[in-house]
Amino acid sequence: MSEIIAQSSSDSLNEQQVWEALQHVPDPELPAISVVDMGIIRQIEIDAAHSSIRIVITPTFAGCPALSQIREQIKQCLLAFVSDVEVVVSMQQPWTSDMLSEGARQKLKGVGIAPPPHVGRGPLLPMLTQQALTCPYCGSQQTALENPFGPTPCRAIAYCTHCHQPFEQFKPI
Amino acid sequence: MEEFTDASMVPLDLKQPLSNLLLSLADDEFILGYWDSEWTGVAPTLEEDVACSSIAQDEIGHARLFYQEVAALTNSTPDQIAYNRKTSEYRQVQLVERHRGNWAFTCARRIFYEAADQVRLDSLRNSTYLPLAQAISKIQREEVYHQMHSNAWLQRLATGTPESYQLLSEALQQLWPDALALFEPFPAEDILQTAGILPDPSATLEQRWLGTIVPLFERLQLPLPIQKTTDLFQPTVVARLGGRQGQHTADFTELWDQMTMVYRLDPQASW
Repeated sequence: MSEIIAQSSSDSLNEQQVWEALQHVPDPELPAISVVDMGIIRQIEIDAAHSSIRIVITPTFAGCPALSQIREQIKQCLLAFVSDVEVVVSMQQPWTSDMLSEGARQKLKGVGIAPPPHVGRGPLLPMLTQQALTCPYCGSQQTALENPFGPTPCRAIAYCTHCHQPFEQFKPI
Repeated sequence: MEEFTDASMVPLDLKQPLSNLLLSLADDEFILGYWDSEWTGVAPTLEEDVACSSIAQDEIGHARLFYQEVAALTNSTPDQIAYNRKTSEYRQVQLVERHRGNWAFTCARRIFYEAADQVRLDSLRNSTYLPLAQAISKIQREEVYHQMHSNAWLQRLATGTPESYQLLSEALQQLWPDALALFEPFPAEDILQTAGILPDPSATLEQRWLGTIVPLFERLQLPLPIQKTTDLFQPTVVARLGGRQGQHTADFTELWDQMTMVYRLDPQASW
């Protein structure tokens, strides 16, 4: 990662490079997934003349306790490019679980968390309580929702009656 | 109708009433979140332990969003507003400030509160104060899970055992006068309504709320001190008003003492 940054800082910075750099900033509660894949980066504004970057992010949950850590990590990452980084939190385009990238959905499965079903504009609840959840370990849909609340606000707890494995379900929101 | 995109767009005469409205939303969530967080480690089951902690965390997060808006309007900070007020300056209803009580009491309170919150947020989503409308569209998606939780417990306690029905009924009976204060009108409600910041008057919201609660309680044969006339729900008990004007209970003084203790040691400290 340090190599990428060293190369870029000498050239004029483009938005693509910033997106790539942010691919290396993990979500503190799901370290397998970057803040980019999580879909919380909403806007990147580069002001080359003043060596500054403004990043707009939106939290997954309003009460996300990791938000200040995320802001700090983004700042530290981008200070390698410019002298001034501003990270603004905005609710203008509220986060939904549909904003998770396809890559993120695959990585979630890899760490034993079932990715959320696509929500679209529909209601949330039937997806968690009435639709069969898919076990991220064996792919079976012989599953039961055990608790809509889990170790972090964005996760629920389910159980696979086929492979007898409890698993976490990323909540559709 | 004119929309207000941020705090600087709000005319001077609306700032105070708007702050007051935001404080009532924020303080309700903050105080209820505080009491419910007390179940962490001692809830009836491990699942409920996690659920209560998670819900409490959400509520305190929602309060923070509203406090940020108040801070923008009053040139202050969310922490100062949350922790540096006298008890009489808090605007929550007394319903949310009572000790968490037993499990049935906690569930009973949540049933009243979540149903009211849903009605209130549904209406405020159309507010002309856009930062509020935006925050609410986010918050509502999270509250769906809270409503599911409180409805499940209402059902479970009401239809579980004679003891669970009894405990739930007692708690509901005790809380009805507090619950009927959830829609106590705000001091300057009319001017907020004229500006479209408050889309519906409190009296209308109260009827909508009772419209969801009454059939539910009827079906489960739970205490219902409400008379239905042709087009109106009429309470037959007197509401315990005052919370929205800063009148609070001894339970709140005790909680305030606890929750502001660290802040008061050094209000200038940075975290």
